[in-house]
Amino acid sequence: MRSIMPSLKRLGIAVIGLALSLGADAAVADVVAVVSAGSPVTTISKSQVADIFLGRATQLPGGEQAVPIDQPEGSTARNEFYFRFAEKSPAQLKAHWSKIIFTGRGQPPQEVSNGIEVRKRVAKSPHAIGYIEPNLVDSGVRVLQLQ
Amino acid sequence: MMPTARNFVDCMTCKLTAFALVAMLIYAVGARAQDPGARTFRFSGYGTVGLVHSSEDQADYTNSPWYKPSGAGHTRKWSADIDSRLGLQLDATFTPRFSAVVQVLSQLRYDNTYTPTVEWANIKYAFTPDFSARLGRIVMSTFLASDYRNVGYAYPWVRPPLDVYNMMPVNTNDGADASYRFHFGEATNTVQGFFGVDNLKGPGNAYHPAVSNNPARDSWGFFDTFEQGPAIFRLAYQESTLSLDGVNAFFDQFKNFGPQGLALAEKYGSYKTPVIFYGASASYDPGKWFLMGEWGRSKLLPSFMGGQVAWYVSSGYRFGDFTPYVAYAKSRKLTTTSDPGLNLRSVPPYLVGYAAGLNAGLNGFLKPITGTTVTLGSRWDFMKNADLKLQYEHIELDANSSGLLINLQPGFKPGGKLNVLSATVDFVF
Repeated sequence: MRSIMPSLKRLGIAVIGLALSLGADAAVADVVAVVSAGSPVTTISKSQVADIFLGRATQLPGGEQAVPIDQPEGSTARNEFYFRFAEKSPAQLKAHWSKIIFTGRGQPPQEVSNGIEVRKRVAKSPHAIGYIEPNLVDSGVRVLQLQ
Repeated sequence: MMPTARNFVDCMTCKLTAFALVAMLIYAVGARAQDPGARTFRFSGYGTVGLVHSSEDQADYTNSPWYKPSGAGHTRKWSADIDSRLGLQLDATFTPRFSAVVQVLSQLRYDNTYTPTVEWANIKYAFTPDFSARLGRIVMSTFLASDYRNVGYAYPWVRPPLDVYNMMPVNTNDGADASYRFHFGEATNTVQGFFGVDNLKGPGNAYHPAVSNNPARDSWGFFDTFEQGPAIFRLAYQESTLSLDGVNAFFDQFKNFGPQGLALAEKYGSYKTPVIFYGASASYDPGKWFLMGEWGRSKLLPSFMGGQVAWYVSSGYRFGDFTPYVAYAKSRKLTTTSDPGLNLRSVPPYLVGYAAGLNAGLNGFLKPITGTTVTLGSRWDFMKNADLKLQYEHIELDANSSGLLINLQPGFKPGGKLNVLSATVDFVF
């Protein structure tokens, strides 16, 4: 018993270290959900955001029609967004949309080329909802508080 | 020539398809002229390349005994004809409310060719974002994965559990449907109702060597889907009136044997057989793992197919790009599996041999097609847009059952066990 304690301690330190480094990674690749600065919507739940981007819901809280704007496939922001808000990997997301597209039930959100383009589109339309890196937030968009 | 019911069905389908295609083409030309950048047209596709090996060499394993004439085991040791397929789809959006879809699918079909067939062709009008109606060809969503059962990329297994997914021969509808979705809190409930007709084309058989047309009439039903976050619950109910003309070529022969023959033909043939199906499904997929199960009950009475119950449970865990999974499926026939048939004593002596042959044929049809299947496999998302799956199935057939096997050879022994190995690559674009 005594002999394995030091190695358990070392393992514990390694696990904490790993957890911290994973946490740090997540913070670097963070994304926030945004709507137009003129939108009446201020708060939303994670699952409401997920439902809008997965085609399950068509309205913003408050009843406005929702138009989700996606970042390009393979982008860090997109992967981070779907992992955090919908717990889906890029392959799971593709499988999800395959079910909907090939049964004629719908099409995935419109894609723009990067976070700056998302910000432009969202700022212009009261219906648009997007996600961007926090450092791209400006006065044209409002960061939605997560309930 | 008199216009038969069959011609009517074919014609309705071709008209709907032609209408959808022409409408899309006109719109494509118009859209290009006005606004080349408009995202009103989308072309997409899916496919699978697969190889299957079965340990039973006296019969063929297939994913679709109603539709396919050959498979793995007897016809080929390793068969690519079970899962290999290519689907191409064109989506058109005419206005935010009015859209159309056409999907063409090439896979081994009833005539042993890969001639493409129209899988979907319909126009859709959305009265509101949550209320829409469709007109044309629609694949029924009898089970959770029924309407995308050919899109391997969309589900974890090589193919949806066959014991359950092959319960209902009628799975396409030429007609209309409407879908209404309502929201309460963070949950949604979608009700879909449909009606229409179908024509099931089947491979030839010993009694009807040519490809058969098997009309399904008066189809209607509804599906209710409740979704909340990672949970899905589903209820399904549907009816049709089915005539299996390919099989009736055999049962027609009983009609030469007076009232007792007529009674047998009507009891076991499929002449306007009322088909009733109801089922329930549940699925929970929070991301890292999934657990799902489906249960169904079918009644095709009067006919040799009779009543059947089938269910499966399946689970998998996602380790990065790998998703190992297991499934356990069971089916059981609830109606008679044998019949003494024609009373040979009341048959003229010179017809006794022929009648005995018919009785043997009848009991062949009445055999159960049920059993238990244990499936182990893994999906590997090895690149963007494509996965590789390896799957092992151990099938134990019920007593006297030939399972879903086709092309039974004289050396085939019903009620046995078999192992099936599959390797597939699925892709979408």
